[in-house]
Amino acid sequence: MVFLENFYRVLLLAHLFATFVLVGSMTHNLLCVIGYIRGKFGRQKLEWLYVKVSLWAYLIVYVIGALIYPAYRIHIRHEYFDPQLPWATGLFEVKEHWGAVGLGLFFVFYFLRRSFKPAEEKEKLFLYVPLCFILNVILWYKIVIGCYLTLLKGCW
Amino acid sequence: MWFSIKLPRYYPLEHTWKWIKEKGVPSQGWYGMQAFAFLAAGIVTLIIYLILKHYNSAEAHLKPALTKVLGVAVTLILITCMIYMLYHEFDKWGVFSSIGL
Repeated sequence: MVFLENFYRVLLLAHLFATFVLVGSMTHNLLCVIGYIRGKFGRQKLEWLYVKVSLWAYLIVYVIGALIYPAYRIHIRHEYFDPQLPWATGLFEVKEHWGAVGLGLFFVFYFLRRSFKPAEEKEKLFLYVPLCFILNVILWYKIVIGCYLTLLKGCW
Repeated sequence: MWFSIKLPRYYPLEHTWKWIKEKGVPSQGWYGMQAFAFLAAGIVTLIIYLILKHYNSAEAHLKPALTKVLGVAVTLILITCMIYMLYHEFDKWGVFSSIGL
């Protein structure tokens, strides 16, 4: 018996639902941040709310992902991906490494945003805007690859 | 990889942690790598924070030009590291060869 394997499907669904919240809030955040580039600063409060929601959603997604990883490692990766579709493991490994980078970046993103007002300290946008874009790249890679791998083999 | 550090690995079938990688037995090095990476990053962050706190007052601000340079430099370093991770894993697991590259 592998750790939490009986709850794998439920946790995988929870992982997916939390990811919906995360991608939704971060994509909306990106739209607000694109507004900053164009000199539009009317949605700062809403954008700050998206940052807070995203941070919590990311933490939840990360913890659930870490909990279901042992069952995935045995029943999906070891039994199917590694012997038959090793390239799928490659896609997954990048997802995990970028996910870990994303966790660190999310804290930087959160504390940076908390420390400044975009309309008043525009020079800090030189870090804030790229961070937002990079986090969105990480998240969209994670959700697209995660869904694709689940289509290949979601459970056993 | 051009360097490696021994970290604990989790063996899901045995419910145990080991410092060695046993061939043919599925194990997970990801948890150990995460713990090491965040611990190392936390220590480095704390040291830099304490150094900066010692030499500057809380009210001190970076010059706008320096802030911009730092922002661009951090972004470039991040992108470089992410591309390297992608290249390393894609090369290792045959993603490139599976699409004919």
